[in-house]
Amino acid sequence: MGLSLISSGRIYRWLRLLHLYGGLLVSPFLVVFAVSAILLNHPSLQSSPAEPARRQASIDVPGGLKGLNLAKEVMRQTGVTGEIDFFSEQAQGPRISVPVSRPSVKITITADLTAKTANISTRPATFGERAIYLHKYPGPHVANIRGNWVFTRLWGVLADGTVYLLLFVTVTGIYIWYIVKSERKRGLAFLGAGCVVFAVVLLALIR
Amino acid sequence: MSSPSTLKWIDLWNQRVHSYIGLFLLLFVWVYAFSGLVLNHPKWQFSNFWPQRQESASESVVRIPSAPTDLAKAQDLMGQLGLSGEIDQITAKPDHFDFRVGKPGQIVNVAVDLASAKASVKRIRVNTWGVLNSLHHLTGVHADNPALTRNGVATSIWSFALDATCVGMLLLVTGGLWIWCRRKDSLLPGFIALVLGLLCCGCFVFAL
Repeated sequence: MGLSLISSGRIYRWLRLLHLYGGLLVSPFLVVFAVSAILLNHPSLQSSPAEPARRQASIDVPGGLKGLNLAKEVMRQTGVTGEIDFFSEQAQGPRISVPVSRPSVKITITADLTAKTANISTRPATFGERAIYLHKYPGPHVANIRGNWVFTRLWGVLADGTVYLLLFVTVTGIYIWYIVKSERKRGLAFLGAGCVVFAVVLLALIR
Repeated sequence: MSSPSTLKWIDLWNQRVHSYIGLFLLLFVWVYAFSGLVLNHPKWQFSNFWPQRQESASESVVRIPSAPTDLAKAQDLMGQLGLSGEIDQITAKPDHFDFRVGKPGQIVNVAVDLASAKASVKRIRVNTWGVLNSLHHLTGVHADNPALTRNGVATSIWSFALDATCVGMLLLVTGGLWIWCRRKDSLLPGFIALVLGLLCCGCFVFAL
């Protein structure tokens, strides 16, 4: 491939390396997002969920707690960790249900604060469910309580990082392509075709 | 062809295919990436489209269809009312037939009084941020009503585009891995970058 006379060799070399290393760093995340998107688009491809395991625990929750504080205390006493999916701010018992999730499990704690007992149902997630969980979280829903588990917040940071790195990789990719004169025409044809397809599909959708 | 020539040929075409797929899918990747970023930050005020929605209502006389299924009834009524999009909710009662039609930028709730054959149509229009939001998760798969299959032509096309983008991303990753493997001077730093990504991602997928 011939190099354009106007290209700066050093910039090209550095951007090419950054494109390569950035792409390698972000590639596992891209695989998770791509696979999970396909599964979300075709739910029939997902394997059947496993049966939940059930156990009981004794709890003794101090009075006066409500909302997320109550849910977290019940989780602490039952030895459950994870992201509380939703919980009313006004909930204070005596019967409460706390749905908790982590990438690998879905847990439901049903507690009777008066009887001081809690039933914990734990269902392991399939690989597809783990990927879908990571695709969706933190997400836009229940924004006032989302991120109540430290690893959800951390994953949110990594998801943001994936987007920023992906955008960087695409921009450097455009530069790397454009610099090579012999590839410009063909590349422009593919870029143009992609833009036309995108525009036509988008118009068909919103019209 | 001798082995080194074959490898060179594979290198050349892999690089080209990597480049061409990336260029073709560029806008799709940007839309999904950017809309995903916005979806993960519902507290960002500039992208909060819902409070700025525009609502309007109208009433029309319709012909009550005698279609065999609720979906077919809803599609018939859509045609009568000049609506287009994906039907994602249907509620059929003895005296009422209600359904919702959505497309990026617009949600329409239709409530048909079967006795008077009058349809009350409520439209909600959202801005560009709302369109982006909708594009990200428009698949035609209705989680709360699995029996309601993908029913809009444009939705099916966008769903196919989503599949193509995902497969394209996987091919880009695979092609990129080949490019890295073939560059001896980048093997070690590339390995470090890849392992770092695998460890970070793997912890969440397998260890939590």
